[in-house]
Amino acid sequence: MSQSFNLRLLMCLAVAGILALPLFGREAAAAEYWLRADTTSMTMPGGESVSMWGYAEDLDSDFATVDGTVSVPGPEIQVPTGDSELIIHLKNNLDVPTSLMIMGQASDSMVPTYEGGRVMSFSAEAAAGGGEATYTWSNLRPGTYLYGTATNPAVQVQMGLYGALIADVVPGVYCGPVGSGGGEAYPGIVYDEDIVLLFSEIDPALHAAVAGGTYGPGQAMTSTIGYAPKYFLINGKAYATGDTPVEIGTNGSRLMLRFLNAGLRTLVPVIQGFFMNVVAEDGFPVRHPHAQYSLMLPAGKTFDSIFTLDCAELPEPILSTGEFAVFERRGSVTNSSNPGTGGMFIKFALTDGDGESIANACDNCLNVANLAQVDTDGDLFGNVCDADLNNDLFVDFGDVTPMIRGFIWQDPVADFNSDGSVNFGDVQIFIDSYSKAPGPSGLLMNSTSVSRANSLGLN
Amino acid sequence: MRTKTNIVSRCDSGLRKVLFLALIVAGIAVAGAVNAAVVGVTGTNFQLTAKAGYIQGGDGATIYMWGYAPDGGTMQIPGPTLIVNEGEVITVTLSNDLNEPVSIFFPGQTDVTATGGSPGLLAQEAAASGGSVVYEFTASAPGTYQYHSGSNTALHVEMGLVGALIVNPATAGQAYDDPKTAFDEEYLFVFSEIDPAIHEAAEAGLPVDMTTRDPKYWLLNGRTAPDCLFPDGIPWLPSQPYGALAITYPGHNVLIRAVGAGSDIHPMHYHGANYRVIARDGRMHESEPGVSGADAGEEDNTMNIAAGQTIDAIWTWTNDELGWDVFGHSPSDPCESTKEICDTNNPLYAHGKPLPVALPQQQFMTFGGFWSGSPFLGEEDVMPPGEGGLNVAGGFFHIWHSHTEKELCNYDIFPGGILTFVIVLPPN
Repeated sequence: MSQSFNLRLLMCLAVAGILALPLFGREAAAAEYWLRADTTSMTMPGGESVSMWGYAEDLDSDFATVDGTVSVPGPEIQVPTGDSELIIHLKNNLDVPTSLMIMGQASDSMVPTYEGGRVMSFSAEAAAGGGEATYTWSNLRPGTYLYGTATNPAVQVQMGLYGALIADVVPGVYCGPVGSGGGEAYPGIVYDEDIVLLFSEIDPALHAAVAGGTYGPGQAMTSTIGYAPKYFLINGKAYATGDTPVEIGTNGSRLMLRFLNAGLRTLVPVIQGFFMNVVAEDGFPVRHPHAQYSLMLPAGKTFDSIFTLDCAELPEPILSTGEFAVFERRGSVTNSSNPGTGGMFIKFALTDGDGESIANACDNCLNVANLAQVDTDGDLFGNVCDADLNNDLFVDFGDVTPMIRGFIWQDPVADFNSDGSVNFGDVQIFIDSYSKAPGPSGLLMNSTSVSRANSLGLN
Repeated sequence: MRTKTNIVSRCDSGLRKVLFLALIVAGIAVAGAVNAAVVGVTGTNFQLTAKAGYIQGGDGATIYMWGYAPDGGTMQIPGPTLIVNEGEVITVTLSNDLNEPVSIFFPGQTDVTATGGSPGLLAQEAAASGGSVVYEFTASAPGTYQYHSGSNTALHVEMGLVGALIVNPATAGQAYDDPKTAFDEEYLFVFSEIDPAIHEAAEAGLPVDMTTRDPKYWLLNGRTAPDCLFPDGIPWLPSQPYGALAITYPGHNVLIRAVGAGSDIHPMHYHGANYRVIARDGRMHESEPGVSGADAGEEDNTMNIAAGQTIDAIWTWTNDELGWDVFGHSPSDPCESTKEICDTNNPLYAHGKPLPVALPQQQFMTFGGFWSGSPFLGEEDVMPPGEGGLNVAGGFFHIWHSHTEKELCNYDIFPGGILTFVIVLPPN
């Protein structure tokens, strides 16, 4: 068993190395985004509508037509691994100047804008009413960062001009499934799936004043000194009773939570049922990762944490319900004056793709319901998805003879459907599995890369 | 010493009250032995009832609270400190006398199961007015933890439905399964806050908008200074059984178990020496994964204890960098190398140098009961008539307090809030 497991790991490493080669060999490419700062509105639990500012990603990569939906937070900017340069084009449809910065990243255009000797912005501005500006970060650091406005942040950040930026390191030994969202966040810190948790707050009085033109010197609201948030958001969403849980753990067991605080107060997110290993702060890996169930998350800060869904040690209630929560412990779990729990509360549900009530991360056959999890040859592929009898990671002609032997000698390893005998039902599963890889299995995080290995002719 | 000067310059009569109370307490403490263990309830099977009651503010205010009461007892703030042993299976039966659903969430306990009640957002809930639920978990890892209501959390935490949980390791006298976490005395500090407007609304059954929360009282172990300095279980604070005065000896390791049980973050400032942080959230600091050891602990003097978190730290008062001998040696005594620097060439060598004490001037002796004239404080001298009698053991006082200055008040009146002392008693 362990031998075949190791074989797969080795294969996975080899494949990752081959895939990484072209990236190492080529010139570092630039990631390029087109963002439009614009107005929108959001409806809070309880029905209050709040006017917001946000970013939209321009879909056709030019600003000729107004397209893309404005969101708060803005679109998640993902910098492909290997790219060390990021270019963001900004078009400003707001009626005030705005600009962009990424906290923790040095930008070539990070030059303050002055007006009458007073700093108006930390970076070059795009003029109000349609102005454009381009920002270049030519030596982007990997990590988790907040991007957002660099102009009058006291107002513009609250209005919604913020978002998350994710840049992973170049792929090293990453073995996760293709396109799973997995990767290597920092050297040696590998995950199967990540979830961004961006915290922010809304004081509706400010939004109403800005939208109504009554904010500023001599106006009804002169400053943000009386900041009193009423709504508390995770990823732009205030929790309301009955919200559908967010699925997690589709692609493996090493889960990375990326915490970002775009609000103005220090928050304390707490995770239910797990300890998280805090691996990075402000985009810098920490020297000694520490296990915590809580995080002190000040305004502007980011933390990355990893926890593993270890099926052997999965907390009992989570194993049975498949659900757990992250919530804010300083009391931001409320929606304005509405009774009950709301705000910064997010419920997760472990993905169970085949619906047999075993979470993907713990399931030895992801796509076929097999509650009994029978795995006669112990290779972490359940029998029902493991017609690979010679364990060469592919069901092909080499498995035909073992199948015939299994049929004649009633070898339980060929009893794919676990009905007690090797019969024509199992032969049918063999035929259906032919010329495919076994699995996929959540217990083998690299199972999909097995198919990749096959497609590359490595088997 | 600087502390006293600062405080004296900032206040007069209020401080006198604090100091007199401290002296009384010191007298009580000296009469008995130093209480080295945290007070709480022990065992594996606990009965808690969520119910309403009242506590006293240090300014005399009466405040309506919701809290956890021990088996058949009075509601208390914080809830009973549950003291258990590593590896034990713990059951906690919660009964609900409140008129809304309540529950217990155990952050850091990863295998809690519940029997009875109905599902809530963070924990199984006991129904309003008489419901009950039984929680069970294995205290699998030693450390300092907390518990609080997992229902309507913002309000319930504010109202007082919080408590501490201590899981002792197999080896007595250690905080964790590591000899580097050994201690001589341990003290639990549970931090929380009260916005009386919310409590008044809750008592009147009016709707509460938690976003308007603006605390006026800051609590240490459920009390505000000067009440923090009274001993555990004093009869006139029946719903606030836990004191917060720390007492130790020179060179002893004092384990500070800090629990952020409220909704705010408190920069607790421990005078006298730097402490060494050994753990957070019930998990030891480790220099590398799997290598047990508190050696990665950082030294600090102001601890930001966040809501929901716990921090363990070890504080020790020694000669180091003080320049005076706190162990009471005379120069002819043998130097104790485990406690003090014995290299006479070391500029920090302090063996046998008594703390110099100049007796305060007569006009400052109005609160001079603090001055003992003892050899511990310095060279013995004759006290003015009637002075020094309260600090009979000659303890050395360091103030431990929140450094958010407004948290040193009870509804705007200084001193109050999160403020206590450690008394270092002379050796022997």
